[in-house]
Amino acid sequence: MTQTMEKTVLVSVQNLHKHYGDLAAVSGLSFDIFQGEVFGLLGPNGAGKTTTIEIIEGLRQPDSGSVRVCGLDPAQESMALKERIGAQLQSTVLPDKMRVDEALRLFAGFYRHSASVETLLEQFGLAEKRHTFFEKLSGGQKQRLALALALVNNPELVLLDEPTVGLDPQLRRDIYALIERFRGEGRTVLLTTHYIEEAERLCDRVAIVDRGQLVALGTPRELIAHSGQGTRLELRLAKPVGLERLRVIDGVIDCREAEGAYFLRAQPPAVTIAALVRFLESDDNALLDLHIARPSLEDVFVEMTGRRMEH
Amino acid sequence: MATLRIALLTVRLVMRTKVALFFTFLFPLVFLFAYAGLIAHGKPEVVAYMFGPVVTLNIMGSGFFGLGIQSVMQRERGSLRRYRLAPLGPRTMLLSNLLANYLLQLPTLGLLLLCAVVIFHMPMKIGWATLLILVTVGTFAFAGFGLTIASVANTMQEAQVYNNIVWFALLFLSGVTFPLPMLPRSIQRLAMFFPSTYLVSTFQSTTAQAEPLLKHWPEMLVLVISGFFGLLFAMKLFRWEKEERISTRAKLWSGVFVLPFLVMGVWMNTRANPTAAWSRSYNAISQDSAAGPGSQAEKPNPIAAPAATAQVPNAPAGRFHHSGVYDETRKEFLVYGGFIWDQGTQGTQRVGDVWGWDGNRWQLVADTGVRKIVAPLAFDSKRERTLMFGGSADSGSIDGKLRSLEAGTWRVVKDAPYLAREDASLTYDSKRGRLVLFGGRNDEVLFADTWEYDGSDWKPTFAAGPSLRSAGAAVYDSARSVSVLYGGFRPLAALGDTWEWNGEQWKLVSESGPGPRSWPGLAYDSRRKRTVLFGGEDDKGHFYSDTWAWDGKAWTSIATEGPPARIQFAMAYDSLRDRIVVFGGVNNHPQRILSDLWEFDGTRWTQKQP
Repeated sequence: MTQTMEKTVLVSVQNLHKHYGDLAAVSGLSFDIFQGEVFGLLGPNGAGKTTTIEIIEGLRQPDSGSVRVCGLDPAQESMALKERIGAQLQSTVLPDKMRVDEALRLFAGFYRHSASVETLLEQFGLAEKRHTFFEKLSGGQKQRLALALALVNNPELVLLDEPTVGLDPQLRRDIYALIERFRGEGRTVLLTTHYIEEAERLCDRVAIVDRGQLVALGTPRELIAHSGQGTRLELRLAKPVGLERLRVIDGVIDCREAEGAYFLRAQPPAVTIAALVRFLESDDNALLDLHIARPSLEDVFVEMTGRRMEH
Repeated sequence: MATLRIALLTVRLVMRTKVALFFTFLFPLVFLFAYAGLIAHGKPEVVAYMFGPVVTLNIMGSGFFGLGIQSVMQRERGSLRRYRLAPLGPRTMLLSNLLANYLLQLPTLGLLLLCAVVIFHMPMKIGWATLLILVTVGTFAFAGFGLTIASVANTMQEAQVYNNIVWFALLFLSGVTFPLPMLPRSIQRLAMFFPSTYLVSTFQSTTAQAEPLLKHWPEMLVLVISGFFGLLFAMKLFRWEKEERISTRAKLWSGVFVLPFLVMGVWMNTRANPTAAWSRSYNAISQDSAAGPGSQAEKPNPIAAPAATAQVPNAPAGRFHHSGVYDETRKEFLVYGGFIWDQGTQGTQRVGDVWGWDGNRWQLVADTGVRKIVAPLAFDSKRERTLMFGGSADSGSIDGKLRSLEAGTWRVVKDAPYLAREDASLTYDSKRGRLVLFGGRNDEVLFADTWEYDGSDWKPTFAAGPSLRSAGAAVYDSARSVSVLYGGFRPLAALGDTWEWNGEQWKLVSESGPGPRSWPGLAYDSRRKRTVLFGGEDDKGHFYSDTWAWDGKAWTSIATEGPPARIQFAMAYDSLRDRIVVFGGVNNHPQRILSDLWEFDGTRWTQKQP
């Protein structure tokens, strides 16, 4: 966290609130996004991710709180802001008979500064589909077009709302590669997702949100390290041993047994494994099998919210 | 710039969609062919008259369905959302839709025009600039309509419901489907509140009658204002997302959109002769200057000529739609009733005075208080009385009363409500002592029946004869003992036939001669034993000033010089002085109510007054 202090804040969200009737979509959300990072908003459906991103895009007005994006107020200076950001919607619908290159050229024409349509077609693998009607594109192609459209004004900040939802794993990996390219180009990216893998793999920092509130914020590594989850150890032993004896081993937080296997949560794991080996030797027991599993963001999420993320 | 880009792309997208192509280009042609073929029977002048309704229908369709429904569909599909991410405002989106709608209108108009001119030989009376202005204003106004509906509707279903209600009302009650003069009076009154009426009637005045567009500036102004209102509404209520709804309160605000139509409707309804313009163009394609069914009598409202010709002192005021007869007892040519021009109201007004012309001067015979137009006169030589039948009184009421001129007024001799009509043909068969009544009309209904009055009651004859018509001219040929009927008026027909009634049957005796004529003058010259025809209007709207004679065998042109061309005048033969007398009527180019009096001595016409 400390090393990020000197970075430029590109997006600042402070104490954001937004209600739809009685439903509080966002309640008191605060976070900053620094220039050049890929920032993830991770949370289950209905967590308030889309509302938040749409407020940042200037599409919705917050009830209260302050939002600054690229030094602008999205609610008041939305036209100026739209020149500088690129966004992709959860689902992008274009007229059926609009061709790929027409769409890119049309939207490129709306901005004062625009990227080369030819380059975008190449970069997003759409060159061969340039004359294809929108209605004839596959789901992955539509999504690539949506991402290309987000880049059409060569934006400093790219906002992606669930960029891979509904895509199969292969297509998802294609999209990941594109987002990683954004990072390589020095763009700042805000993406919302409810896929743990996506957040862990793509994001420099992740904000976990649930029911409109910030649950945790940090790099994936920090989040896992600071969680009380510990590393999971699964072991099989030559002869059974009482759980109470395992529980007292250094670093062991929790211990369970099921179907002849022992499940331990340990922190730090290295200390526990050394102590475990010593204990088994002294007890004349032997380690038949050992699996070590680092905790995931999912585990962090479950710990923070008491619920599992829906897939 | 963005507006133009989106508009051009929208046009291209339409070109790629078969259904849209069909409705944009082919569908209007279907209507043109239906209207021009089925209604106009391919007659070029009538096609010109129907051209306005076809274009209006197309403009309405694109406003309501092209623009209105498309706007709602864009919102419902979610394709507006992508535009929202770009630095574009509602104004850009609306204007681009408006522009695309307009751009799509132009080739359609071109196609319609091409077909109308090439296939149906439609005369191009309307100027290019006028046509373009009309289409532009119309497209703008109905775009406003479509956009207002799109703004007010929260869902597609809602938009469809609103659209259908408004669409069908405009379609059937405003001259788009049925010519305005053919509609019942109550619906005509209602039609004055509808924007499609303004567009259709202006189209018809300019295409069928070559009237200047400037004459219809109030209609154009209202259309432009409503277009702006629609656009303002659409901007105010613009929604990018289908989830965004508008309140009932905001919906009610859209009522402001109809304000210009309300103002215009009230204004038109309170005008002296609100349907005059409709009738003018209708008549231009129908027989002659008379209006079509419904407002025929009001047609030649010479708005351009409050200048009825100069009033002659001690003479009847210039008039038209009056009636004339030679009173053998008084030895005077009598004229009765008709429309005069009232300087005060700047409109026409019915009068009930009877004047007599003895060859030297006029004398007021009676101011009867019975004010009528198109009430034919006949002289009953047996009972020595002047009779008048039916006609249209103030407020357009029509009766079936036979009246006799007695003691300075019209006494009702026989009331036959079942015969109520105006502009019928009436002769007195002096040999058999009977009045012969043929045709005429009551509101929209034209007649082709023949009745005889024997002094006590009307008797139907059940004889087959001339087709439905009003405004035919008839006289009794005492030498051959037949009533002679020539021409007349029926919408979209050209009547130039000569018929004779001998008391038992009608006989078509000629189909050649002067050609189609409505409101000609007919008089029987008993000295030369011939029926003389003067003036009238043909089915192309041309007025005549020629004189013809019918001897029972053939028509012969006997004079080409004479009184200025006219219709709806009074004409009779003064047997004492051997003169045919013509008084009043209207002429066109310029339209003018006439007060001149002419006499024909059998070879030459002489103007006696003023």
